Amino acid sequence: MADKKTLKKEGFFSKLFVSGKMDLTFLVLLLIILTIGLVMLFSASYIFADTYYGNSYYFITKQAGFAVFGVLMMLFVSKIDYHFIRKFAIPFYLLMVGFLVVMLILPPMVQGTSVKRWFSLGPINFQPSELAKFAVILLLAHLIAANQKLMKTFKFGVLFLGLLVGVVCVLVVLEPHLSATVLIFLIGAVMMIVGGMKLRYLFIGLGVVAAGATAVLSGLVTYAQDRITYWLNPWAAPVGEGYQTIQSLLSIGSGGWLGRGLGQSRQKYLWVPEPHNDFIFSIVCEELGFIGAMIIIILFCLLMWRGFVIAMKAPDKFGSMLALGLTFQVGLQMALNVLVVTNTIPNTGISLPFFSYGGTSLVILLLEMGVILSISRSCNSDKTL
Amino acid sequence: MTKGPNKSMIVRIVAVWLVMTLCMVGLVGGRLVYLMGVKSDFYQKKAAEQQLYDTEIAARRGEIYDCNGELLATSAQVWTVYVTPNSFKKITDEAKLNAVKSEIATNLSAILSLDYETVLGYINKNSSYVKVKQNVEKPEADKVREYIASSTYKVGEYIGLDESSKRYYPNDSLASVVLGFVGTDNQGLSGLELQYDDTLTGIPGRVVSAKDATGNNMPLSYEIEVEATPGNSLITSIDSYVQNVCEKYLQQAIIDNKVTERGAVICMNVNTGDILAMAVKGDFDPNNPFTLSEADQAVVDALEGDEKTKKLSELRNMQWRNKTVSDTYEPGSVFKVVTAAMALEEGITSVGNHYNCNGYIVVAGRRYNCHKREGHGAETLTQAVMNSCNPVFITFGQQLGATTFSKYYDAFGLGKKTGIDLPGETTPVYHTVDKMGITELASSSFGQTFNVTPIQMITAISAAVNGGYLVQPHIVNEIVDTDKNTVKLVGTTVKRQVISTKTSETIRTLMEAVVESGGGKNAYVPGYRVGGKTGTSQKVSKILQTGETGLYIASFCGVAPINDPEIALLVMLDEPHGDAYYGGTIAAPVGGQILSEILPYLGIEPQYSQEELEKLAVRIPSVTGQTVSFAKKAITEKGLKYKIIGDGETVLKQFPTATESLYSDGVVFLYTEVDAVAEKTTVPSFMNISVSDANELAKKNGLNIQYSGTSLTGAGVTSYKQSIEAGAEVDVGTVITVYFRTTETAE
Repeated sequence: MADKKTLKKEGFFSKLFVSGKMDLTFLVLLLIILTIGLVMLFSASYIFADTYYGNSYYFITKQAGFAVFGVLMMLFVSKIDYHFIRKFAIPFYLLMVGFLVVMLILPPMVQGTSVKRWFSLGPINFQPSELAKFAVILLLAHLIAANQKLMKTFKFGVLFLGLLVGVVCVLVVLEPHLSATVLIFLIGAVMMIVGGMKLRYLFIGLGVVAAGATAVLSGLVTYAQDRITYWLNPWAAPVGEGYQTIQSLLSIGSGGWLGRGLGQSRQKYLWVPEPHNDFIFSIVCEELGFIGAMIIIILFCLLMWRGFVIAMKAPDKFGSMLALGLTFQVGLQMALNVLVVTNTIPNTGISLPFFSYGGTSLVILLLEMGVILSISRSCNSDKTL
Repeated sequence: MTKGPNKSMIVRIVAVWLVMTLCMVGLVGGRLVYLMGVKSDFYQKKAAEQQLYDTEIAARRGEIYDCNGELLATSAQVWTVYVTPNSFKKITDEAKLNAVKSEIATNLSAILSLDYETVLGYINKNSSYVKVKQNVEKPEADKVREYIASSTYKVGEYIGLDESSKRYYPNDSLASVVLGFVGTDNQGLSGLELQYDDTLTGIPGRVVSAKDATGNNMPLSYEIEVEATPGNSLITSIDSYVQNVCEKYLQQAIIDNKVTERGAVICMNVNTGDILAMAVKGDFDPNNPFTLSEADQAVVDALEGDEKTKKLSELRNMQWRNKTVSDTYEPGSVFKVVTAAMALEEGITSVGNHYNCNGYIVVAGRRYNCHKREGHGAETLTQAVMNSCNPVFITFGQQLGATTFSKYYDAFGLGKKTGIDLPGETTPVYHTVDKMGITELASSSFGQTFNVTPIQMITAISAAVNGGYLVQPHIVNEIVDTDKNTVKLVGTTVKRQVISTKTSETIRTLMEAVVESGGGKNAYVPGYRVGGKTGTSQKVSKILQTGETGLYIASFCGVAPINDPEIALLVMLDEPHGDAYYGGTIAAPVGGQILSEILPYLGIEPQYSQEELEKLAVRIPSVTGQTVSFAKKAITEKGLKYKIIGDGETVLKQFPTATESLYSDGVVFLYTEVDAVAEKTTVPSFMNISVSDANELAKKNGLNIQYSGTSLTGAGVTSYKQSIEAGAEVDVGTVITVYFRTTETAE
């Protein structure tokens, strides 16, 4: 009786937790990026914080607190067997869709804006699209792993999965939150491609996307057209819509090859609006120069490589697809942010992972990293599934 | 089928990584090479344009001191109140923004006496820095600071004060034409301020500072400061006391004689060329140089349109004009000193020579009258100078000849500007040797048909009396830096010796005779040996131009002490319209008044003759609080008289008080009872009576008399002015000053 009870208990824990070693390279790279991110957040934010909050440490203390909490949570999640969350793939997806629909019906929750991309819960503001991204990744990983054979069919591999991604995309774009839409769409597409979709559908898909994008853009003509105009020539409105872009470019250009030195940015003196948010990378460029900026970009590439290695080594397709989706999400967000900051693509609100200010977003991100680490533990575990 | 990812999946993962890495390193990297490498200079420059502010810091302007170190011109701290309109961008709440703006506009407009709308206009400008008001003085600046500190909004983030400086002239109009004035940016516009502008200005500094988007300074580490080098200061030869005395009597003479074209006085050290005083009345207050006198303003106000503008500008230029260097005049008889010096030096005459004046002389068929129609008859050289006898000087001129006359004329510095360190010196107009015929020579020898500036005239007279040396007149003696270290010392420059020491000595005796018993008697100063020469010239060219008559310039040039000259004084009154217009009658008394005050001040000890001593006023002893018997004795000892009012034992009050002086026979009233009421008396008219009559009249009316001017002896001395108006009710014993002058002046 006692034996049985112990066995059962052991069985439960051995099912919930994994025992393998996690991927240290991934962890170290992540911690390096997070540390640099925090240092740069402090540097970029203290003038702004001092001016508007009367406290230079306003942003960094909050962010550092979330980072410590997030890292602890990440380490905890890494011990949990990632199969545990697979059970929630479908309900979580449905919950998020419902949540997004409710968001559209409710009035805007953050005062002074007309957009419905923010959800307030007491002192915590977060974007439901952050969770929606995860829901899509989780659902796709689950479905692709479970229906490997169907992946090659058009009906399932393209149409069904595409529909699931599309529903979320439509709900998010209506908030409106264009950058999150693009992110979700591209993550979904990459997961489907890697998951076994026939490449010929890819090209058809590209055609459909092009048509769809044209339709969407013409529907939101003022919203997008202005952005494109000021993207091509920000100097047309130096104190209006072009202001943020111009200030970002001045900041990046001022950096030169070697930068002004850590803490020496002049553009952060309120020239770059909210230098701690989406445009933090421009301050990074000004202070650390081309060399510093490239080192950070390469660190992200290495992190992404390590995440993909975990995906390739994963003991099952679910883990593989999950690691792929989460890693790709970080890399894609980084790439899009830097492309926006350098005015290579039109301005969309997109934050730089581990750098930009935002506590909930950082914690969610670190929890996701925890899942990747959990998968890496399973790679090194001899326990068979 | 493997559980993990199949081969195709691995290939696709690697492909995704490659695409992403290529995108990040290639696309983003390439873009960064372009922005941070190729275009770096462009963006850095653009960034600097918006971040860096280059501000000029004005250097502190040097001071101007008089010869005793008293400040004549200085710079005081003032403030510029500014607003930084861009900083309002910080306020996102529309209602609060309007409240802050309106509060600032209300308060600043009230404190700085500006329009509410004007201030609001500055606040709403699209700029990072707008000056609200310049030259704000301390009380107002303090109020602004107080407001900033007490406001409920943090208005210090939007408005502030910058330090700057403003020129101050502590003595108001004193020596204004010498000092000049400065414009709004402290640049010298006239006088010494203009002449020495570079010296006084110094070198402005600059601050290059980085500002944030709201217009606030970034931390100091971004600031580059080049300090301003303060301007050097001037130590002038002007003596405030002497200047003050000169201006006081000049102003009075202008009023008394209804002078319409202003008057001027120069006081110069004959040996060094130092200008102790240079006064022009009808001048201005350099603190408010654009403000006209009330009378002038009334003239302007009566006009309209263009005429008004023209008149305003004309009158301003007039009040700024330094008459002593910028205006020329015919010196008239004063010039006879120069002619006499030429004749003596050339051996044409000597002190013992005798002349005869018939009242006229004919030269080249033209008859020149002496001012005394019936003629002076037989006279010595000394008498000819005392009488200012025209025919004698015309004779000298003819004997000298045009060439010699012109040689001396130039040698005395009358053909060229003196080169005094003031702007706007006028070039004199005269007959050059090739254009000088016999008639021109004749009129020139008694000071007519040519023009000189007052500064030229006094410089020439100085050369005639100082041993024969033509010195360079100058205002600035020394240029010093902020620590009072000498930067440049201006010594005495002797240009040349014009006449011999012996001739100069003779000239002095002649000039002394003029004041002792000739045409300059009104300049007599008891206890001092004064020499001088008077002059009256008709303004011929203006009379011809305008058709007006009776336009004269009355002048007097005095020298003291005449036995060992130190000071020369030139008094000039342009167009007097009072009862008299002769230099000897109206200009010489001014000379006497000025000399009697400045000679003791300059440390020249008086030496009284017995006769003078008897007439000297004595200080009234202080007897208040003493016993009556003590008071009686003290007053009698001084040669004064007393009158006791009341039956008390002690003197409770004396009148006049111990601060005043009385001549012998003056009466001091002693009050011995608390409730004693002073007797009253009515002041009679003291006009046009002799000294003894005035004395009688004063006694009769219970007044104490003070005499002013002239030797009081000699014929024709009459009173022309009294210090208290006739008809006034005053206490008995009040001291009244009566001014005397001789009306018998030779011109």
